[in-house]
Amino acid sequence: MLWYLGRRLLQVIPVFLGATLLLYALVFLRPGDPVAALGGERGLPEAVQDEIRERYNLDKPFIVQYLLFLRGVFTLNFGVDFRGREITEVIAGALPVTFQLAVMALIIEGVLGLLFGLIAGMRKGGWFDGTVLVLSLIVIAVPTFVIGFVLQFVLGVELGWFPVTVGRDPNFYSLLLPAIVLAATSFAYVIRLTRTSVGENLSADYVRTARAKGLNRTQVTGRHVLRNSLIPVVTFLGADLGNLMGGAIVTEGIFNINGVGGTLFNAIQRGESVTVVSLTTVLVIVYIAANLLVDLLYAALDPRIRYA
Amino acid sequence: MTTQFPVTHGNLPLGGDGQAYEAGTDKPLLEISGLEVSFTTTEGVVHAVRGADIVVYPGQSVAIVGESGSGKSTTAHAVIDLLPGTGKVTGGSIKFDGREIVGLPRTEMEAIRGRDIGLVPQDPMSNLNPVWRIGTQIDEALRANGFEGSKADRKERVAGLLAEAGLPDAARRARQYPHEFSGGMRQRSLIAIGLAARPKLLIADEPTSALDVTVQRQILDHLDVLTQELGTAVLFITHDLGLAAERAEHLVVMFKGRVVESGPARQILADPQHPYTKRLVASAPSLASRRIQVAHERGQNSSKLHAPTRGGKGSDIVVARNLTKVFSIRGGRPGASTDFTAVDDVSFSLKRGHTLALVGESGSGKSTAANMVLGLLDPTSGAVEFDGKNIAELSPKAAFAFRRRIQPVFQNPYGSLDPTYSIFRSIEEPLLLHRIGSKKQREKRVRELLDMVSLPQSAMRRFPNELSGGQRQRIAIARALALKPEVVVLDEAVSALDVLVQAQILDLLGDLQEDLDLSYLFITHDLAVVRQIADEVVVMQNGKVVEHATTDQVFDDPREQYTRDLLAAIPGAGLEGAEIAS
Repeated sequence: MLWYLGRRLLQVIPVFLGATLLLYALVFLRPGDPVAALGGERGLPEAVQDEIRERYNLDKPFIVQYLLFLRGVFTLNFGVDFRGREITEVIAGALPVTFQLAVMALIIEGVLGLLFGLIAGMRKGGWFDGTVLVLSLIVIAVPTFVIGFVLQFVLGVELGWFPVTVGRDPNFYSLLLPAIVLAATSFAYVIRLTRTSVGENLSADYVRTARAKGLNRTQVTGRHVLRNSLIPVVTFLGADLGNLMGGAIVTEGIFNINGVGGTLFNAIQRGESVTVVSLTTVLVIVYIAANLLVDLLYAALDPRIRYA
Repeated sequence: MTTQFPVTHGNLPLGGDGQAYEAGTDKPLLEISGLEVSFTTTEGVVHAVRGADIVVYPGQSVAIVGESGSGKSTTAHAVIDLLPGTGKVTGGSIKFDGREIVGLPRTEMEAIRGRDIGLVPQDPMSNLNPVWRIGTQIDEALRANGFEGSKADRKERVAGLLAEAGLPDAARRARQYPHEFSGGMRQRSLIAIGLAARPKLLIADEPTSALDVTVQRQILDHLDVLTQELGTAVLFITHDLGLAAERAEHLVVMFKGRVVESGPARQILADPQHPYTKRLVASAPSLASRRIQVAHERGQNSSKLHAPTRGGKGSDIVVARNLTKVFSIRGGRPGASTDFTAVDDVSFSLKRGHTLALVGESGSGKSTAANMVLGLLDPTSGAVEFDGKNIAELSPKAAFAFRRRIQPVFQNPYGSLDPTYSIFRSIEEPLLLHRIGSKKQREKRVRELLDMVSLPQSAMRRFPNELSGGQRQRIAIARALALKPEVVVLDEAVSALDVLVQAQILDLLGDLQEDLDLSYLFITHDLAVVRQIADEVVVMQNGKVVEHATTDQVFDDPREQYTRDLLAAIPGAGLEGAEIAS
């Protein structure tokens, strides 16, 4: 198990370097000169532009810039943006709320998705299965912003069950509705994935053997169907954590949350390359960590992986 | 051999008919009467079992014999109420210990399973849950059936059960996972599970058909001894008549959902009544091979007569010289990879127009050797010579031409045909690849090939899923013959087929060899089949050749102990007595 962990950790290094290099290159090759654009219509004097370029190392060759950036990542000092704010502080301001939102969404889709999928898969063709299938298809088909606005209007404005927006001071309760909206699409996928997986496992030979042993239905379901069905679902959930973090732009917009999505969007608009790359790098790290976690969970769920 | 047969039971059947038991002192343990089972499919209702009657007395062993689709497994699953999918008992009754169990509530059936009726399932690879330890899976069977005791008690009992099923070092083994076990070890674990709660009846559903013959024999011997000691009645499901006759005192032959014949095993073998049983007895390779061999010899003699007319017959077409293949297996930690020698210094030669059989158990390296002959795998050292040329040194163009001259047929006709290709496209593909003929000529060739393998030409517009296993294997043979090869490598080509179909395919292969002057490299684990088709036999064990001789020598006078073990393990080998020859 330790060797397995070690090997997986080693694999993280090339993935991290490759992803950040690609990111950096993409932003670097972006058309337009952000420094020249700073001056707006009238433009800045050449001398000022040069000074800015020097201060932000924009005059150095690409690879040097990239290495300087890497140093920043490892020293947790990303530098300052054009408005003079520490990028580390910008990230620290945006990341926690998005992270909380994503984790809440992940728990909602994981727990409820597994439960619904399990029930639907156990009684394939029943009324519950039928209803869940149709509803999940609707949720997948309708875009997030529609679901978001409808739920915000019905549950927030009309019924008053939830705060309508989150604003500066996010807490568990105010983030609940946004988390549900954020989770909706993946929730539908988790249901379908679990349902199929459960259906397959139910007809597996070892489930029949378990029944032939004389186990009752609860034991067969819990010990032999559920655990084996978890394996593909866990993979999906792990990969989804990254999506939830990066993909919360729409939800954050609807509920007025100052998270990663909004900050990233603004930075792209203003051409603040360093902020964009830094934030995306953090997302890359989250993604890699989530996948590492999935692999470890995978090994815990499936003993065959441990020795592979 | 006879010591394994439970011959002295008080309830031995006396009459020729299965139901004509003497009332005796024992009441039947299992009484199936008029059982009907049907499945609902999109194409309507399929009646899998139509009125089966089977009686099993306490401690008795009964075997249900039949080909796939005969309803034998369905009958067994109906008894334990584990019918797959839409399967349903639609009529008749199943009485266990005098109590009707059809339509019993779920909880009551759960109480019967494991405790009263145990199951040893068919495929040891898929019947253990890969995510739980072996011990845990046996422990479950104990706890579900009311075994009271502390954790330590249960642990001891689990180890005891595994040891009883013939696993050495049971306490340590119990902590391992299924993927760390070989097929034989898994099947032993499944036997331990089946017998954990000491059921009165054990249903053994083809318990060893997925295993090597020698392992099969050990496990069945062990199961015999165990069930005799425990006084467990066994309902044995198998497609192999020889195996059934050897292992059970009473046979029930099923055909298309009906019981067509039942009675004492030896009587059915010696004097089958129903036409289906007669055919089955005639084509069971284990029982029939001696007679077929005699016919084969006759055939050989006649072919020897006109041998001079065939040019070049008898010269070596494929020669394997000191073939060695080493695989490197990645270990659990860096640098811990180990070398595994799959094929170790193997030499053999295949003569033109002859059949050479490579025989061995799984893991003996026979398939690896075949892949090297086909040029699909490069040998670590040694060489394969085809028609005098080393195939490793062929130019790309010559290598392409070489592929035309040697073609494979693989074991699984379900896997080796692309399900999205029509039969026509499957057979045409090699012709297309080698740019042979116009479209019209290719179609003509496909029709010819279908004729050759005795399939209607109309089959070419159909798809693999519309054909039976035997038909698919004919298609695979037709595809292999499309390029008019000189050598066909048959890798377990008949192992997945039912006996009757197997016999047909073997006949077909024999005819094609005569007509087209083909040379066969025949890879198999089944010595009984070898006897029917091969001229020479190479016996392999752990990557090495242990014996190389003509088929007659191997069967009449095997030199090596391993070959003798393989021969003894052919089911029904011990039954070849006067009563069958008559």
